[in-house]
Amino acid sequence: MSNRLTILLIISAIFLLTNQSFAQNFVLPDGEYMDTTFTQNKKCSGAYAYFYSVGGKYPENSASLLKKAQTFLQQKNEIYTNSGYITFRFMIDCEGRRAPATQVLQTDEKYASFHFAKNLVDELYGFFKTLDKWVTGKSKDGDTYSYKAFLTFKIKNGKVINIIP
Amino acid sequence: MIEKYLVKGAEKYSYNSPQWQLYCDSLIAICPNIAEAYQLKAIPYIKYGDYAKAFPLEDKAVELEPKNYTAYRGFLKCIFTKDYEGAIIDFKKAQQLTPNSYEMDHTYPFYEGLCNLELGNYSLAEENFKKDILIQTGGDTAKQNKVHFNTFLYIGILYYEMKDNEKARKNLQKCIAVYKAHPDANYYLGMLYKREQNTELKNKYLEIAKQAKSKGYSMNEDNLYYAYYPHQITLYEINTALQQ
Repeated sequence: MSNRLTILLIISAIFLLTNQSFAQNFVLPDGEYMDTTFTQNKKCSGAYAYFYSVGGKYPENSASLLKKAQTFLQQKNEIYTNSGYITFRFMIDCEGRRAPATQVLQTDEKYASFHFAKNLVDELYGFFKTLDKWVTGKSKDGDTYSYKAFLTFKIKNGKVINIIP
Repeated sequence: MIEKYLVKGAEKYSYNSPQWQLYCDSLIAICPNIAEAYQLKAIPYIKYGDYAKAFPLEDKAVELEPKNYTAYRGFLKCIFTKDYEGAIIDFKKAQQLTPNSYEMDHTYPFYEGLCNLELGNYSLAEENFKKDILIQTGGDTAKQNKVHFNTFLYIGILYYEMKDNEKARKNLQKCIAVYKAHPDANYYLGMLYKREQNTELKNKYLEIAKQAKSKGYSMNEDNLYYAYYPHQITLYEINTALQQ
């Protein structure tokens, strides 16, 4: 009996370990999410733009963000594998505040759908949440808008090597 | 069909609208061999980070019309997804298909130069930019004024990274001679003087870069709204450098 229990425990452990890289978050009809909570800022209208129409790129360049991301990940000191892209898509409201609802998209380096290790995605999401300088989206005529934005981490052999856009 | 479904169909709407997709899908259903329908359908996906949807469409466009879309896909890989190895493969292929042509204002070797710069393949990047100038001038040294200012910018950045200060300075100044308020050229010139411990000139050029950026000057490339170009700077990098 105890042998059976041991075997069962070993099989369960193997199952859990091998399944780790396919673990998911909130899977909704329109995709996978890290967080689904969304509260409409009452000061903002329901209308939204896309980041590129309202000057909404994060106000630090890719190299600066990359350095910060690498420093953040070094603290965790985990080793990961695989290459591709991990993208977070989200909304910045008309006052420049990021809404918690965040979609996550993942591809391999050939742009085919893929799942990285859940811990890597969680760590990148942890870094992403430290970014607090999102700008207020403004049109050319000075009106403020909520906007949809994204941040992509380019991964090579488990390491972040670039940040988009 | 293109006129009906794309010019007078999809293109009458925002590419983020459902109608855009509807017109593209309709044309693809009726005529599955029109590359432009796939390329247009992919636009909202590439601009909003959905690469799994975008690239199969780009690949289909390339498969159908390699002469028209190989360089474009290379451009997307270079600027939008920073897939520098993939972009180089596309631009090399494009050079065979349509030699010495342009994509988004620049020659194919220009983009190869950006990719090799970012990959740290500096001698290859140097060769790429020489080829870029050769194509732009047709080999006539008297036509240096035909060279795009961002070619000089990136040659300057390349030599800055190679720590060849004199060549970097010469090329950044060529860029500034054409476009005085170029924020990135002034920034890298400032950083070069910082390296040389010339605080006065460092601050001078960084302040010019800061003023230019604050007034809305940029590298003046069409796709800056969507993605940062390689080595492109923001006010954050300028302010950080000024504080050091």
